[in-house]
Amino acid sequence: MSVPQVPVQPPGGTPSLPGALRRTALTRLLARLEGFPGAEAGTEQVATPPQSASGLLWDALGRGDIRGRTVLDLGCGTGILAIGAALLGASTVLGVDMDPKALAVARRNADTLGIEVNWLKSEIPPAEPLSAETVVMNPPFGAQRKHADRPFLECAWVALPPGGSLHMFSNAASQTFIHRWTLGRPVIIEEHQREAWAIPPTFPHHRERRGWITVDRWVLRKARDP
Amino acid sequence: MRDDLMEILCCPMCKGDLTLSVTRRVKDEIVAGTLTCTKCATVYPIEDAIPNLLPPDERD
Repeated sequence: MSVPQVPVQPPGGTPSLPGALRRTALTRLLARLEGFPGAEAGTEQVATPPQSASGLLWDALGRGDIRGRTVLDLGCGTGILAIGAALLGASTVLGVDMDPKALAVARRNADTLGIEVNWLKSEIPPAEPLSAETVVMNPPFGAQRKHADRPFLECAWVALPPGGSLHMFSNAASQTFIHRWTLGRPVIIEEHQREAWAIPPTFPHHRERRGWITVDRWVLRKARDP
Repeated sequence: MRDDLMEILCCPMCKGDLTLSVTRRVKDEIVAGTLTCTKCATVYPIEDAIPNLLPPDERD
């Protein structure tokens, strides 16, 4: 796909690779995207804050997992990670979600930035195993439905070739579950970072005006020689 | 969706192959049409360029 022409450097600045984007510019672009039309608590849609999305993508870029790679965004919602991956030069990007309203917003968001992302409305996992060199995701946090993130992990794992990587956010409470999930699998935990997200009162059952959730960012890589 | 997405799609009900029928195309993007399963004949719509592979009883 073609990488859009985005102003990347001030005039006279250091020349950069074509399509290269500075992280602050990426965050700014992602912050402009339209968010959830009305999140449904049942599916636990927690929008990824732009700063965190660009953090995850920038880290993945540095590991060689974005540029020129096929990228899959599972539970893509309004598409912030998928769109960010496309902006950073992924070769093809597919965003999958079962919420038609979120996907409609995702498509508008991609169109606004003039980038090409494939969108698919499907349950996770889809009927046919998807494949991608890199999976990015911010799946349901599994707080209201325990281990709602499990099918996402399984689906990502099936999609990846040896050497492929999974970059994801997850509820900090899922830490033990994820550690246990990695046991017995040829997986390398390359990163496990904790951050706090300020969440607006999206759901009616959130009584406080503003809350914080503790979120882990994980980088899991499928070992080359299992 | 674009045509190459067909390579990775199959029927979520029976895993049969899908055939594509396009009713509206804008440049290389299929904006409207249907995907029909060659095995169980379930029809999946493509609306606003997004194929909807949810089983019929789980659609809106």
